[in-house]
Amino acid sequence: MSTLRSGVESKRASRPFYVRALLAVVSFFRRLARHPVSLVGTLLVIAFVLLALFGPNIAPHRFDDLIRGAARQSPSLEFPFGTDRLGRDIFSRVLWGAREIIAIPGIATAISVFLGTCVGLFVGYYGGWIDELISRALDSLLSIPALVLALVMLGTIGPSPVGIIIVIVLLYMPIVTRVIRSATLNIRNSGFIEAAKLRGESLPYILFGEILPSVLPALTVEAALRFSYAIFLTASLGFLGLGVQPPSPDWGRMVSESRANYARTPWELWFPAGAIASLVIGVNLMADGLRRIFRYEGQF
Amino acid sequence: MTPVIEVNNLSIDYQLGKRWLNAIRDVSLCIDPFEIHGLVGESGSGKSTLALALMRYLAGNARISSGEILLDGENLVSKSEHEMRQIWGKKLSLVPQDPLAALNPSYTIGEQIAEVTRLHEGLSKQQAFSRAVELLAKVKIADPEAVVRRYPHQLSGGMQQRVTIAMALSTQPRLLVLDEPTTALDVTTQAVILDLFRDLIHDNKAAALYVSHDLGAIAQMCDRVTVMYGGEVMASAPVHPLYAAPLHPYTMGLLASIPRPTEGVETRLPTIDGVAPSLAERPAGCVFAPRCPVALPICFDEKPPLETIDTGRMGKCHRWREIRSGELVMQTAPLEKVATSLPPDDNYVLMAGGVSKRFGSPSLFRRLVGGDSGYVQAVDDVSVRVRARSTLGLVGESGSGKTTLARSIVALEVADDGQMTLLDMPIANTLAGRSQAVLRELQMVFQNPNDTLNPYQTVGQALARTIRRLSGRAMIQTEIRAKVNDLLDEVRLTAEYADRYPAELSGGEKQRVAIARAFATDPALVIADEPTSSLDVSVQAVVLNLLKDLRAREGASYILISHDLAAVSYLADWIAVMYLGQIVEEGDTEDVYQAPSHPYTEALLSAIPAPDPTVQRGNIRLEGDVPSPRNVPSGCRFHTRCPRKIGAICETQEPPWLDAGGGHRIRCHIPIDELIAMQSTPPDSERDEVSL
Repeated sequence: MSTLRSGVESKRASRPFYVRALLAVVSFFRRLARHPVSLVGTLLVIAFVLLALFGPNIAPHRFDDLIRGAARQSPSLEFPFGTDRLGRDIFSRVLWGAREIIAIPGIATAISVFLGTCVGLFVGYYGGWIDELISRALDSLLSIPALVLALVMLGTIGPSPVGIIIVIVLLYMPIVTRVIRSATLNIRNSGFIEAAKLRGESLPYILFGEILPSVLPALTVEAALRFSYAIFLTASLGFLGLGVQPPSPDWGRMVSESRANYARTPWELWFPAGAIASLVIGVNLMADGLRRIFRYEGQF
Repeated sequence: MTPVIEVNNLSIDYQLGKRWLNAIRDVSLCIDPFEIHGLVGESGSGKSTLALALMRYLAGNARISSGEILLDGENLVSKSEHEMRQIWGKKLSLVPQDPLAALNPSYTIGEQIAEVTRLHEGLSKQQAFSRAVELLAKVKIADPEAVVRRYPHQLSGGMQQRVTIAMALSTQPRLLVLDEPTTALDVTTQAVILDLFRDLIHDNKAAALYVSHDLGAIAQMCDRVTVMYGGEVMASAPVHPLYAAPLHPYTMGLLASIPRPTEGVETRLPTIDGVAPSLAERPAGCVFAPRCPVALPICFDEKPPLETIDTGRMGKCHRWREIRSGELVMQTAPLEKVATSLPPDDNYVLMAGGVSKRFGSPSLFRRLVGGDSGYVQAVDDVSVRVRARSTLGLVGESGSGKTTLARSIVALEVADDGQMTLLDMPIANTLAGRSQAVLRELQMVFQNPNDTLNPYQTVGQALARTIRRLSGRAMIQTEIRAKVNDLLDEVRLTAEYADRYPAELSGGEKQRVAIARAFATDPALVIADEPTSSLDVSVQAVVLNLLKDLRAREGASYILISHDLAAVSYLADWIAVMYLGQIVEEGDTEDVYQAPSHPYTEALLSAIPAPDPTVQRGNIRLEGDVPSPRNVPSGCRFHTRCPRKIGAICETQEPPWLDAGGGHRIRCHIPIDELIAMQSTPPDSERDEVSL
């Protein structure tokens, strides 16, 4: 295996950074292509991200446009997803809603992963009583049921995007910490770490220069998984009315509101629910693909 | 005599992706009853694949593409797994390399042994259990009635390996396959286990295949030896002629590259150049041709046949006739001139006095209750000195504290006590307390080549980082690059290695990069912790030569830690032998290897299997295991295992340092003259007591 790759590797180091980055992306997709299901998942996630970015621009209507005389229309060419009882275009509402369902969990996941990685690397490497203290504190945070914490938090500070992000960070940061901590424990006594200590490297360099690259595979997979759970949690909070407040569209709340009208306008439920399901499934398949790729290459 | 097992023209392939790669090619092997057949080769030679194939126990991605395996004339290749289950454990038994992995952690030893006999001999639970006790007694486990009720993790490595051999022999198998059974054990334990194996195999009238990379163990154990390389048999011969007059250049190279205690400090080890070919790129001609020092053009084009040389002796080489007739003399001496080492001068690079290190603080409960101290005294008041341009060898079994001592010196462990001076300047015991200048002078080479380099940094990045950190001045990119190339050149790697990742290097290459990294800052003292213990013998020779050359060229000093006394003697001019955290003997290398010796050193030396079947090994065996460092024995720490114990004084009084001249010191109650007298006449009575 190594000899087959060596030609590529030796050329790689001499290329400029952006070319290497591009090559890395291309090779990532080629490796992902070996697992077709994961490739589909990844493309699905990319499609949703594009929707979040450009959805409002391509949507035929605004999310709160009340189209005269078009209430309770079933899906048609004019209204691909139909309209609701107020005559709002569901297709447009789903497109507008994509931004929040991706942005809120996305930001929350990024913060959780960032904090979790910093704390996880530190306690995993440092060990001792600091590790005991922080790990036990985070464990106790983990013992609180997710929805109970969310209800209490959002009930007191009031539902808002920032509130949801805080809840998600509180819930997922300890989990990321635990994963990174155990990955760090595996390599903290390696020769290359001790060699770094012997040349007097600083703590930040050892954590981020030496250890981080080795835990990056675990971190990437964990980040993708956390993202999918965060989407689900955000949608659930929307469903419970604790998400983004009306009139902005929220997939979870759209599902919740459509329940009463399910007998007459079932499409009102199908499309937002389908959007949540396909996004979560897409992210999960992508995470699965990442895990396979990294497991294959884990034999470093 | 019909052979127990006969392998004819066996070929085995492994599937990698969609390709089938040939791992074993056209191998034939034959083991007679009562024979211990050695199978020797470096890693990647296919010896383990062949051993498992003999048992029809191959990995899921392997297939037997041609050939037959006859066990008592019965072909195993066509057998189904169901049929094989009747044969495994009954006619074919395996003694694995890692006994702890082979024993089930959730069953007691007795249950596991009993299972084999119940299954294959239909014994009742009661009978099988009492048989397990008998078997354990047979493998000389003290107090077998208690051991049958223990779990695997409660036994030491040597005890576990005895249990696996008891299991393997429980059904009187026709053939016993021993897959590197002593590789994970200490040399003293290995010696005891090898004696035991040899006696038991002969007593049970079994045949055995002994797989090992250790030419010493093979020489002492086996009747016949097959040498494998690149998936093919290179040579097969009775053990005596193979070692006395090898006819294959590969065998000759392997034997020559073993360091021997008798060699002086001034020599270099002969090496085999290059690395073993991977499965994907086996050469078309003779597989060994690319590394062979006497290869002819024909060797690269045409595969030599496996020819019968004498009765029972086969070789696969185009040139064996020339080698046998003496026309072709192998240039086993190194081509390069011996690097002349600078005479060690008398000032000391490092002086460490009274170093102590203990692990695990007693819990609050223990401190209140008292009693068992609860901590491990890994190093207890040890003093060492290293002269400039010389090498201190630290020797001892695992648990002797040699590694902890070295790590305390480089401050990877913080010594509880002790003063250290480097180049006549006192240095702190903690890394944080040491200046850049101190760090620069003190570097380390680690034991495990697989984690010594960061898998996500190229070799060049790793070296450049060290240079930049510790050079003490600003350097421009090209200057660093030039220095990286110099370093790679020093360790005989080409400049293109700078762009490679560790995954693309072999174990020996990784260790050479680690050495280059240690020398990146022109250190005064390099500590090498078992730098070659996981390398093949031919690669070990390359690394040891390199260390020797660098010492001469760079004027550095070493502390070399090893359990391998032969490898230590090749480099060290001063040796300290450690036991349970203390030095028990120290002196010039030559003095330590000769009488008078501390009884422990004597036992260590005696345990080394000589790579020569005509040399009868020393017969001093240490029974039992190293006592737990939690409960260090009173008086002389070695008294519980000492074969030369003289009486109660050993148990009650700490032994004094005895001066044997020339700085050679021994910590023992037996006076020097008596030690000399004892050790010049081998106590041959003990031999009979030990064997059955």
